Amino acid sequence: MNLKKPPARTLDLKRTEVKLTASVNSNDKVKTALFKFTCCAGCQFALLYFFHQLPETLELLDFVYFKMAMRKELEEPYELAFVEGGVSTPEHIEQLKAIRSQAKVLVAFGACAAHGGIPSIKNWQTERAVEENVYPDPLLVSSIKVSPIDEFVKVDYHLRGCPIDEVEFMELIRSVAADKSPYIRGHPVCVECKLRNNICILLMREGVQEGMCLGPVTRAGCRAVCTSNMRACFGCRGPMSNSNIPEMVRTFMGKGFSAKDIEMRFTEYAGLSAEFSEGARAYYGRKTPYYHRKAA
Amino acid sequence: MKSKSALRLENLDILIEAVLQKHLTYGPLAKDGEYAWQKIDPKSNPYMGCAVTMLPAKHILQPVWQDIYSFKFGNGFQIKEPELAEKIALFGISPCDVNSILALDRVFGGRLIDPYYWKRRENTLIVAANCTEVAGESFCTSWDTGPELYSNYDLLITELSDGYLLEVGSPKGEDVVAVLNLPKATQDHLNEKAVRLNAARAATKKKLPVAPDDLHRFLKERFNHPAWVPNSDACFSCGNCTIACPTCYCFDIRDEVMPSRSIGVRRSEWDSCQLLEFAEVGFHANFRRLRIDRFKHRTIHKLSWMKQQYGLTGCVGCGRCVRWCPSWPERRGRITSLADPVEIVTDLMEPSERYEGIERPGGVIA
Ligand code: SF4
Ligand code: SF4
Ligand code: SF4
Ligand code: SF4
Ligand code: SF4
Repeated sequence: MNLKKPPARTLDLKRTEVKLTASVNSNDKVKTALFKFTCCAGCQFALLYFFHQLPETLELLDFVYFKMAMRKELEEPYELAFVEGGVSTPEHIEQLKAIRSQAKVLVAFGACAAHGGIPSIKNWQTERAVEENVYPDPLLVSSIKVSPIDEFVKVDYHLRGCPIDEVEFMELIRSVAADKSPYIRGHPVCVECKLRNNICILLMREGVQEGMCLGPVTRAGCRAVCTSNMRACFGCRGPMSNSNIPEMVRTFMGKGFSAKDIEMRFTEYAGLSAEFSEGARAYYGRKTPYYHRKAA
Repeated sequence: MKSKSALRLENLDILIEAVLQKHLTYGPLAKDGEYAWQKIDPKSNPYMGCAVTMLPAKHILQPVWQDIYSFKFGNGFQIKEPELAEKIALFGISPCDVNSILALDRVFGGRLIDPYYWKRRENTLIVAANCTEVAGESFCTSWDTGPELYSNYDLLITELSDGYLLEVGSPKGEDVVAVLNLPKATQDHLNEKAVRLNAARAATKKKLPVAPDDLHRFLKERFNHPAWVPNSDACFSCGNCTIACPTCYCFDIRDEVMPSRSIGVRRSEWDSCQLLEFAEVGFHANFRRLRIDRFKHRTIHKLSWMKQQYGLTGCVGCGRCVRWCPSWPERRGRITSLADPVEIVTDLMEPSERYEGIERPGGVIA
């Protein structure tokens, strides 16, 4: 096979770090800590990319804890906490509650914190089956089902998406710095998709997997990045403010998608939300997720 | 329009070049197997038929995102507005879309004037194209907004068996074609135009089952008709039908303030009455919380209320909502587009009793 090597990417981590430490002394910035639970850390990584384009972030935020970018240990107090990843061990719950008691504003950072994300697909099997799949000796691990962080603590804002969106992130930190509530879109991805003059994948790519677009029930805010690149929306941002799940299932069934396809699409990122779990179970009646949660 | 004259045009390229001389020109170009309004250059090949484009041409006159002004505190409060002096041309705009612009003119240029829209509008050259074929989704003949345009154009193109008929409708249009020295069209050409457009009219099968003048009464009487329930049950509240509609004009305004808090921009973005947040006010009160209310609102605003408000029809029959609605429920044994005004009106004509016993989940799902 003759595969072309992709061009090497240079990420100037050093520059980021210098800037981060340089900003510690300023006192009208928001002291911020970023914590990670069960996830791939992709949202933190995305944040490092934002820094390169938006030094403005660092004019607003003073990071006291950010493992991927700085060597510093956690230093209290902080006002703003970003929590990345879902809860999947008993210790996480204690840590999360400690963060809540310290932070003035707690933000669910990315799909895993907001809805359980990709790790939550394990919730649809028994814990034993999952552990046996991964670990040679399941008796040595004690994991629990994944849950979004607002299962345990009050969350002030959600930055949804896999990974988070840059524009929404900027809107959030500007708003927190100005002590006002941010504009978080409640409408579906279709709005942002059509505003970009895209063709509709759901209508034009009939019958193929790429045409299985969850845009009509998924919350916008990602600038329809997938559908603008001719990929169906996977629903990574979870349900919109008033999603019509029965109709979405009917639409997929009408286009010939199987019950399995539909279940997989709905459980990929936000299967734990009340709305998407309804979609997952609609034609695959026996299974229920571990628990059922009200929409965030 | 007095200066009407009819000319013969061999090919479009020379006209495109003449228009491009002084105008930023847009036309319906192929995109991902469909058509979209995009900038054209001498090499591009705008579609001169009935293109049910994704967004209508309104996004050129009233952009999706618009910086209304930027502002600055310190030394008083200063604002800076965008300059909108550029000359625009809409090349190959279809008759229904020209009619939709006339409706937008009433909205943005009526009692309250939107200066940004008007600056663009005054600088716009309309090079319309009659439709010698009507797309399957369109029902312009019901409103007489197509397939033939009678007035309100600068230039009007009609495709003939060999070449084109070019009619000049204004001094602005005259200026563009003067340099081309085109030959006059003969009566034969005018006759062929009439034949072709009559054929297009006759071939249009899709029709509103209620006469336009009667729609207001019709919808008022059926405001509580049970057919609204299964209709709105199938609706995603996704806004595609209004965003794609050439006469929908709703937008939202938001300020974006930079971290220094002394500079920022005031920006507008298109909005849609189908969205839950559209009619939300303080304390989360909402005038149209229920999906059924929003669905009804759009349908009736398009088919009747806009006429009451502005005197011109709010639906021109372009068929974009039909095409781009993602929900296709079964009605009367056929798979139909949920947003289709013709299908909705047909549903409302059924006797109420027909809907008794039809139970679909939700009904009034918020
Ligand atoms: S492609 Fe998906 S997100 Fe875009 S309009 Fe169609 S259904 Fe909506
Ligand atoms: S289009 Fe869908 S899958 Fe893609 S980023 Fe947006 S919400 Fe996520
Ligand atoms: S309501 Fe539908 S058919 Fe009528 S003008 Fe709007 S998009 Fe076109
Ligand atoms: S139908 Fe809705 S979006 Fe369109 S003009 Fe009327 S209120 Fe506005
Ligand atoms: S009628 Fe169709 S396009 Fe309009 S909001 Fe409902 S589902 Fe979306």
